[in-house]
Amino acid sequence: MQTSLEKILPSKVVLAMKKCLNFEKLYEIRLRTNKPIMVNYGGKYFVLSTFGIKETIDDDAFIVGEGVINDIVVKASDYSLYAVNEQICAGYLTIRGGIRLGLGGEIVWDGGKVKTVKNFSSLNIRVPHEIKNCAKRVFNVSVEPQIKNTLIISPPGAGKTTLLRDLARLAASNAPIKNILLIDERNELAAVANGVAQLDVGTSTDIISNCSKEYAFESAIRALRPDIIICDELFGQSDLVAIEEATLSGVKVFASVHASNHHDILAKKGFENIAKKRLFERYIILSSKHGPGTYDAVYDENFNKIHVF
Amino acid sequence: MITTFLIITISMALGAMAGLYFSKRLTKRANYFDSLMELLNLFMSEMKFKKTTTKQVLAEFQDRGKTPLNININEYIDCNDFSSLKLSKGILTDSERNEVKKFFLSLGTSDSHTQIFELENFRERFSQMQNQAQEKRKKYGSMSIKLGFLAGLAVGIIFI
Repeated sequence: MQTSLEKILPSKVVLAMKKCLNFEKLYEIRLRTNKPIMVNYGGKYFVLSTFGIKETIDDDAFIVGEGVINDIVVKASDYSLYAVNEQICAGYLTIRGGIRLGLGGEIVWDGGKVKTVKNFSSLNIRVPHEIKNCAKRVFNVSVEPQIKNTLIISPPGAGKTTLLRDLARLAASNAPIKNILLIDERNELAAVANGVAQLDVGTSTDIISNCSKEYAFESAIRALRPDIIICDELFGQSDLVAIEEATLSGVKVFASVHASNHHDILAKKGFENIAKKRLFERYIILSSKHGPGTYDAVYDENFNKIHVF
Repeated sequence: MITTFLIITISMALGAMAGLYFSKRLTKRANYFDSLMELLNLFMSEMKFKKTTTKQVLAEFQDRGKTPLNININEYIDCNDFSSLKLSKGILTDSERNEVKKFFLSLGTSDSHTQIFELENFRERFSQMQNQAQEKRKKYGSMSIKLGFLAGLAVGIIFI
C-alpha cells in the first residue's frame, strides 16, 4: 500500500511522510491546487510540512503546485487515463492496494453525459485499512444462528468499508461453508489487481469489481449462486431495487450506506419503503466518536436496540 | 605498381564501406518510422477496443521482435519522471526526436477520444517522415555503395 502511494506522490512528500508518519494511522491525504497538503491522521486533520504534521499552516507546509494533481492522476492511471476514464467520470480512481482517489476538477459534458474530467484541482486519497477481526463483535448478530440481511450505517470515514470487508472475511471463512459474492463497485473492498484480491476477503468469496450493483445483482445471482451478497455504499433507487430483488430470491445481503443514524436512513428516498418491508434484519450504526469504527448501536428489523457490546 | 594497386584497392574498399554505412543508416531510419507507425496503429486499436494500459501495449509491441524503436521504448519505460524524459537521438534528427518525445509524453494523458485524436495527428506527421525516409532509401540506398566505390576509386587515382 505504501509502495502504491510512493509511486504516485511527489518524492518530497513521500520522504516527509515516511519520516514523520505511521502509515497505519493515515486515513486520507488531501491535495488542493495552490493550497497546503492536509492529512487525516488518526481521525484528525493536520497540515503536512517538511518536518511533520502541524495543526496550523506555516512556511514549511507543502503547497500543491499547478499541474501536480494532474501528474498524480496520470501516474495513478499507470499512464493510461483513457483506460480508466469511466472511473474518472464517476469521480474516483482506485489504484493498487485499494487506495481510492476522489477527484475534483472541470467536468467535460457531451450530449448530457460526462465525457471526462480535466484540469484536476482537488484530490482526496483515501487509504484503506485492513483490520482483521474488527467485525467479530457484530458477526454473531448478523450470521449466527442464521444469516440476516444487515445494513451498516455510518458517516464517511467511520470505517464501514473496513467493517464490511472483515464481515466478508469472517462469513467466508467460518463453517458451514457459505458462498459469498462481493460486489466491489469501486474496487476498494477487495482491491483486485490482475485478478487477485489484495485484501483478505475470505476463502469462499467471489468478487465482481468495477461494475454497477444493478448489473452485478442481475447477472451474478444466476451465474455464481451466492448465499450472501456483500456490497458497499448503497445509493439511489436502482441499488435498492437490486437489493430487494436479491432478498426475494432468498439471497442474504450485507450492505452499507452513508448516514449518521437510523433516523437519517428513514428520511432517505426509497429507504423508508425498505424499512417498512423489513428487508434488513440488522442495522449496525458506526461513528468516529472514539476513532473510526466506533460501534454506536445495533438494531433489529423493528429498530429495537440489541445489546451486544 | 603493387603500391599503386594497393592504394586504389584500399580507397575503393573504404569508399564502398562508407557507402554501405550510409545505405544501412537510410534503411535503419526507414525501419524506425515503419515500426513507429506499427506502434501507433497498435495503440489506436488497443485503446479503442481493449483499453489496455500504455505499458502493456509497449510490452506487447516489444514482444513482437527487435526494432530500432525499442531503445526509445525502453528509455520511456525506465523513466520515473517524465518531465525529464531523455530519448537517445540515434538515427533521428533533433526535430524528429522531439516529435517522438512528444508522442511518448502524450501517451495515456487523456481520455480515449482525445487520445485517439492526438494519435491520428501523430500518425499524419510520422507518416510524412516515413514516406521521406522510404523515398531516400529507395533513391540512395543501393546507389550509395556504388557511389562510395567510385568515389574511393577517384580518390585513389587522385592520390597517385
